Amino acid sequence: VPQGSSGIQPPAQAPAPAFGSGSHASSGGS
Amino acid sequence: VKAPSTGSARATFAALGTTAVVVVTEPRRLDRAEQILREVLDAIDLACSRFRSDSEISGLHAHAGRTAPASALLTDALAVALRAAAVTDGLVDPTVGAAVRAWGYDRDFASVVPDVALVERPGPAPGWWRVTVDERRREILLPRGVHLDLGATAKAYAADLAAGRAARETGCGVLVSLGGDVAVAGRGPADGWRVAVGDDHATAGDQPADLVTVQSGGLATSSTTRRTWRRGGRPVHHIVDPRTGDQAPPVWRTVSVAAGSCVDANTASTAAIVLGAAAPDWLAVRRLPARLVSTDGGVTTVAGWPADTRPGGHVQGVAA
Repeated sequence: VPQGSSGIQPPAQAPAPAFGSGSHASSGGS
Repeated sequence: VKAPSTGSARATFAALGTTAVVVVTEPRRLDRAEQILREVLDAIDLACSRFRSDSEISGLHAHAGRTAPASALLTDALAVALRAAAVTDGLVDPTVGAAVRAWGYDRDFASVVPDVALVERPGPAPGWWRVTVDERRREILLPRGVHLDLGATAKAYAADLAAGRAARETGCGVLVSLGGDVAVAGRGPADGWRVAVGDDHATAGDQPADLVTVQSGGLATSSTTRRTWRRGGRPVHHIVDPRTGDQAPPVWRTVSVAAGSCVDANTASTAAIVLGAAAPDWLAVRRLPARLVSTDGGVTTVAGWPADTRPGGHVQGVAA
């Protein structure tokens, strides 16, 4: 499995759930 | 999209056939960050757009078969695309250009012809390994007949580049989103950047969607429901399987992935669409947190992506 500098780098931290309203940005299909 | 809860400021404008967003944690640094983003986008478009006859990549196609000098930006963008191909074993391949054009995506998306007959069934991509990039000498050798499409990675690369440059120069936290491909850099908000994840980046903030926070790196979403048209009466989207030249299978509506950079997130989300049913395991072994929405709306989360928080959302988790 490619990892590290020669592979796809995982995030330092997984996304965490956020509750309530308001967001800085949206990620959807493009 | 509603105003963020922190003291941040944002600017939104049209670019690269999509929507560009820049958010900063210091409102008075917004103008400078926007200027940096606009400069990066102008430069990327001039280097990498296959829709512009005056772009550097169009010149490269005209000189196929001969070693050609290239700008640092095109050299880097192509190196990034070839690396994406290498680490996905060709699931994401920049030599897919001829197939993408054959399916009809041969001009800026807003101008794609809605439906005509499919002239010729596209074949497999010639293969990324046939393209030679000398990063030190800034030279590219594109074999004759190979057409590049850097669309899958150039936009994400631009987001990483602009976010990093703006954060360094302004000294504040910066988020850049290009059509929903998100890069963050610098010191962000204390509770992380809040990103609404949905099927459509233009409406994800308004529709019921996952709301997550990211602290660093990138988050990208690939979709088979955006940028669609018809050929020969058949629905067509913009993600082609380079191994066959055919449309990627209709398994996932959208795949969102978090990774160490926007380029890596975009590479993985595109690869996941191409992989279809095998995608959750592929993402899990690489420890890439992801949210996959099937064509019937079922949500699968992978490798630590938070369980679906939408009312009525049903989740099928895959362990990392």
